[in-house]
Amino acid sequence: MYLNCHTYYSLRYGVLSVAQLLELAKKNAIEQLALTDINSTSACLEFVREAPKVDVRPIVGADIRNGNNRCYVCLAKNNSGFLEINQFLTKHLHAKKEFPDVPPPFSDVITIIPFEKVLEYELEDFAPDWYIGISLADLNKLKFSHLRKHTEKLVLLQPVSFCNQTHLNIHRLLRCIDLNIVLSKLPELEQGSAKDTMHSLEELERSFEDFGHILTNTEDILKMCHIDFKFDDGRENQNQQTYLDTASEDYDYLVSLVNEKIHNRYSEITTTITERIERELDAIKQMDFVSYFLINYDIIQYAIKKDYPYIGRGSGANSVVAYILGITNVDPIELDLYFERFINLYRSSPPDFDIDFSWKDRDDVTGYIFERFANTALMGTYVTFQYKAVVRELAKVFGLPKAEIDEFIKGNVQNKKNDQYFRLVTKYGKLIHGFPNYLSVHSGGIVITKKPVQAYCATFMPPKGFQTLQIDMHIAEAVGIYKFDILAQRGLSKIKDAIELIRENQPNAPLMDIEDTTPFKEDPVINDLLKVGDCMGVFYVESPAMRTLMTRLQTQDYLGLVAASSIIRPGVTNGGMKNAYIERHRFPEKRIEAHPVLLEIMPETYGVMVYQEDVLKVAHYFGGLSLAEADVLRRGMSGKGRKKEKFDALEQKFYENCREKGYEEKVIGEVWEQIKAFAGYAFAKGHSASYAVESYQSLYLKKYFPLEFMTAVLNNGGGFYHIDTYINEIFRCGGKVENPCINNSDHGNCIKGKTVYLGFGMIKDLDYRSIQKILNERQLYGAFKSFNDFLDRCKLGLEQLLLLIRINVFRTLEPNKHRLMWFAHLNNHTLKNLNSHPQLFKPKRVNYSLPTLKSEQIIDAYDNLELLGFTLHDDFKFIKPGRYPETKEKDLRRYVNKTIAIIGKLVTSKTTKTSKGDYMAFSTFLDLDGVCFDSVQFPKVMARYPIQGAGIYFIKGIVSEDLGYYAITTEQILKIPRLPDPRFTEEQKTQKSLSQ
Amino acid sequence: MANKSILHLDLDTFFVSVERLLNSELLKKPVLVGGTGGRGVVAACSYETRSFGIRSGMSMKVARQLCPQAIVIRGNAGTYMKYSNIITDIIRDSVPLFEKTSVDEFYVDLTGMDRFFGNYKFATELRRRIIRESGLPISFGLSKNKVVSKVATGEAKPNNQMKIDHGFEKEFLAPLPIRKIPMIGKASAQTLIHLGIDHVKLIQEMPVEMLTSVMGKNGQTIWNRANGIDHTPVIPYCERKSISNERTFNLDTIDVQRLRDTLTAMTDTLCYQLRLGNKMTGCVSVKIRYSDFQTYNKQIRIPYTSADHILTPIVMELFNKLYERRILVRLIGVKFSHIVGGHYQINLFDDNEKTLNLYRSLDHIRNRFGAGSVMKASTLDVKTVISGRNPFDGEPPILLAHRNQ
Repeated sequence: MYLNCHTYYSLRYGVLSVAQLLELAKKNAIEQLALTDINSTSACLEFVREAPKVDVRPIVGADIRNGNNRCYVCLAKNNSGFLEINQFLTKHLHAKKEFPDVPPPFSDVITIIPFEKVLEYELEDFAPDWYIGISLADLNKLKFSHLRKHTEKLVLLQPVSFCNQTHLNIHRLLRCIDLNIVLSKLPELEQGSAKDTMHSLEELERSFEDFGHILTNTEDILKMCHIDFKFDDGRENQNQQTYLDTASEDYDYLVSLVNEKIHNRYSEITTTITERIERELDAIKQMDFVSYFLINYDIIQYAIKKDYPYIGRGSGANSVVAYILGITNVDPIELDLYFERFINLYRSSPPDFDIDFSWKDRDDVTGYIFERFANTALMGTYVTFQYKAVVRELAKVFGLPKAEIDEFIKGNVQNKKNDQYFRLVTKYGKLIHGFPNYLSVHSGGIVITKKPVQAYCATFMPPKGFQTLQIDMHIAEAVGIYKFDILAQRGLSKIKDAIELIRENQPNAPLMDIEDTTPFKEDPVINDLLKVGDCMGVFYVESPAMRTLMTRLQTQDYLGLVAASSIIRPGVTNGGMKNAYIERHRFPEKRIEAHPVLLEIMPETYGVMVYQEDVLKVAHYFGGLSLAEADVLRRGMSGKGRKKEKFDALEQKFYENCREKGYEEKVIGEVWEQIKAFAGYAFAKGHSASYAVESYQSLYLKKYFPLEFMTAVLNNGGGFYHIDTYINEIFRCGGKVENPCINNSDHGNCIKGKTVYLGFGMIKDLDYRSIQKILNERQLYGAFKSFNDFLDRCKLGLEQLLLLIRINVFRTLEPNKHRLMWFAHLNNHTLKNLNSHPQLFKPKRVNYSLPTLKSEQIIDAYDNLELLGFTLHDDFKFIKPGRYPETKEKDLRRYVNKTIAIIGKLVTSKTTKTSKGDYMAFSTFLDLDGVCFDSVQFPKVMARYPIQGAGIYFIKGIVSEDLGYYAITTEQILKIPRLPDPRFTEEQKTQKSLSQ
Repeated sequence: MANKSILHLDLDTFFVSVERLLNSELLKKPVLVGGTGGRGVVAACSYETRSFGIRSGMSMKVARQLCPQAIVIRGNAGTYMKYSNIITDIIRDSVPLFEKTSVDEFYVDLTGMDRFFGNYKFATELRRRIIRESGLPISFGLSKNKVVSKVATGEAKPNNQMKIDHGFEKEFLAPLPIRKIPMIGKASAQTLIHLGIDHVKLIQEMPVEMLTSVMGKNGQTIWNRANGIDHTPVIPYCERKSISNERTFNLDTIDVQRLRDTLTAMTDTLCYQLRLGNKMTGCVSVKIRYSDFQTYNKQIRIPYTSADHILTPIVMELFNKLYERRILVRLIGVKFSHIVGGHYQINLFDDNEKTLNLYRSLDHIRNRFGAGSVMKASTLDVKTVISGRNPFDGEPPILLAHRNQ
């Protein structure tokens, strides 16, 4: 009955979820309902899936508006009408054009034009599918309008956006967030009306007593609409089904590729290999995944042609066919990886291939895919309102200043004066939390469908210029669209860039083939780095957690690293088996503690579930579940609602089966908890193995070419740590780092011998254009000879020039930056006074003599901090003078179980919640020599000594040792104040005279 | 040109001293005078409080935290005016030419006096007389110009005097921090300090072209002042260059209607004051201070006028353009500057006699029954912006002793 219902996918407008809307319909005994979100069809698929469950017949469409000005409402008569609506939306969303006032001609779409609009445009002729929409409020006007004669054309068009006053309030707040205004400035025109609610059928009938035909008309047009999609178990694969023309051609092509390429991978082809290939090919054919493999193959062929580094991972890395085709780079036979576990008949979705490219190459690859295949789009994703973000936004709507919002979010609620506003913020923050906020692009998903992508939803055009679906992966998967994952990462470009830098800086150095990783894996020197966790900058293993884990495991080979990469994932840790694994690994006598059945299933990991496939194995062999059921477990419990029920049923079955087998109740419970903890987080072994290959490549470069490697790390935006941690690493490896230099630096960081010159690009606020000017000038006419020479050749604005001076870019030409600043000002002043005609002769510069101006290291340090974000000086030199302990990281082992006092520069601090809900932290510091050490702050200490951002800290605590890993259990931690900036203290000193 | 001789007199912690005069129990105790409400500002603080880090202009709340034992007094502008006038009278009685720049600050031109009487001796006696007759401590500086004298007073304080002999001006100023030079405010000081200049000597040595290239015309003046050069005369009459009205809300607000009403009331009052002094304004500016203390101004030049119906829409338009941040408003204000004498001229096209008569009648009522006796209905709820004082009576503007920030 209602043609104009909104959900919260009418972004920053609607307040109802799809479920709430359906519930409302049920309550009012509505049998047919049309979902028409504002300029969006995002919720349609979910609506079509959910509505029949509450006996509502779903109809979909869109409410076309320019701003908040409703033009007309479109309803899809059938799937091709839905396509038309989506294409119409897409066309306008892409071009960011206003929608036309009068609806375009559609063939399978019903268009309802609101009464007011009909009057406004004085429409007289109506196309067959056009109707006039009458809302409850319009009824009184209709009585006196000539339009009442169009009895066939009148339908009920009553917007349904809210249920009650609270909803309306939420709506108004959302509108303010959208329009960026305070609440008191929200104009009436930009809001919905309090009357936009669902009225019961009786009420409608009463209101339309004299216009009964309007309600009948409405029911009639709704009956004309029918939309059809199949979901979940009933779904059909919607991906592009053939790579060539027919399925059989595809299969033949795949087989011929495998036969052709097998020799690249295996010099000797054993029967194990051929049998394995045959089995896989059969499964791929049976499951219709042939085109999926071929499309992935096509993509990597392009990358190879363009010399783009890539890495294939995901559960697909367990496939030998993928290995032979070159999609992945780990040999599943050597590593004992079982593909069938991922591709079995009970599973309709294809295995995941995640293909990583360098962040510099990824867009080009995406571009290629869009050109190569007909129906492509990026996967969309909805960014929802997170609680803190809503609080922030709402606080702005109430006009609260940023500083107070920050305090409030931190939990300091001392601010009494604005208390009333914060109470409202809290109340509505909780209500809005979880609403979709805006559309964004999924991190790497690309869909290639058989029908045009607009058959499912409209698309929008994000800045990168690839059309993107307005639905997310969950509903896409439910309807049968499987994405290809084309991801960007920085590790690959670090490796590629490092190699280029080495060739340039050390042309004669022996550089091994980076693709052949066997020698790296066997190099004891490289393996030693893993053992002590000396992996700063190395792909995937540089984080403090990984360093700790590897130290405790004494990781020193490839397989150990593969296991460690998986153990670090939340699954193993949350399941409480991390320590068991470490103990069993280090002390073989502990291995007998494992459950005999589990040990038998997973001998390699001492009976501990580490990889994704282990969940399958345990569920199947230990728990007696079928492979299909096991697969549900593997994918985890992330789902809500229905998925949860399915999961609960499996839990029960698991318990029953185990009891039947006579396992102890305690063991069953423990194993189930571990399975649950995996919750879809774990890596497939093939995936971990792919990552470990990349780690080894970086390790080789880090060990033998540390300076070039670190420079490449800096040029790719660092990694887990803040930039200055990598700079410290360069110093530690015997290199030198210098501020940008006018005659030596490029845009990026560069290395000359053992000196790394930071690039101009590192200077915050320095325009790209200024940098280009400098570099062009230097390239064409040689180095700058003096500051005046620079001024004459590069006419930069004063602000830009001062940035360069403050960071000491001209130090080789004139060391005192204060002097330069004065001359820069003078130059700027003279330039302004000259007219900008070209000059035949250079204007003569007057050589003024300046008084001696002081220069201080601390001022340089502060300028560096402000403009680059870090200093190149020893930060320990700039702390408040005092007597500080001189202990260092290497002393920790002498203090085991004793109290140590030490100072350190904070590198990173990770706060986690304990099971009781208190906060504790793991913090890593650099000691006086720039060596990392770790500490832990338990809740009591956290509460008393909060960690206050970057800086130098004094730490007192007891050293604990665990399997060769040392950490300080903090008792006291204090931030040591930095020396103040003399330029601002001068200010305070003189303020005294001001006060009179 | 003969050397001039300029005396600068400045009452020490004026408001505090007056309070102490009225209540001797306050002597030698830390005393704060200013606004006592939640948003009060310290208008004056006794020397005893300075070691706690208290400065005038600071929020009273912070000052109380710094020095909980301090006695806080809500200032009373009327009383201070009275004492200020007593001192003015003494000075008027003693010298031929003086300038009153604020309630507690005076310049006296003593040039030529030393032909009859030693200048320093004269000044000393004047100071003693003021202290004797008013009971208030006062300091002075004496030199060849206003700037150096003012700096000298600052250095002499509290309750002392200082003379800078001719020829010693540069030497006197050289070691001082740059902020001591009048005119070098927070912003200019920051600019100079970032250029490596922290004391006056460096300004003296810097070529003047350098300073003008950094600070424009002000650079020249600053350089002059740093070098002890200042030719500004002592001007006996204080001509108001602008009038303004502002209000700090007790509770920050985003209620746009309330803000508009307050502005209307302010504009009405200011217009009335203009007409009271037979003045017109040629420049209107509106000021907003947000809850986070960020302050924004917007101004516009207009044809000279003093009519409500012209100025109110201008003020509103400025406000609409100005209020664009999504933050609660703490303070709003209106200022009229570019003031000239004269009556409002009838606009040939839109005005009629009716409007003029209306203003005349309204002003007549206000003159008879007080400034708040008649107002626009929309401004009925607006508090404390109405004032019937003629700001063009030659007195320096009153510094409100119970200011809010």
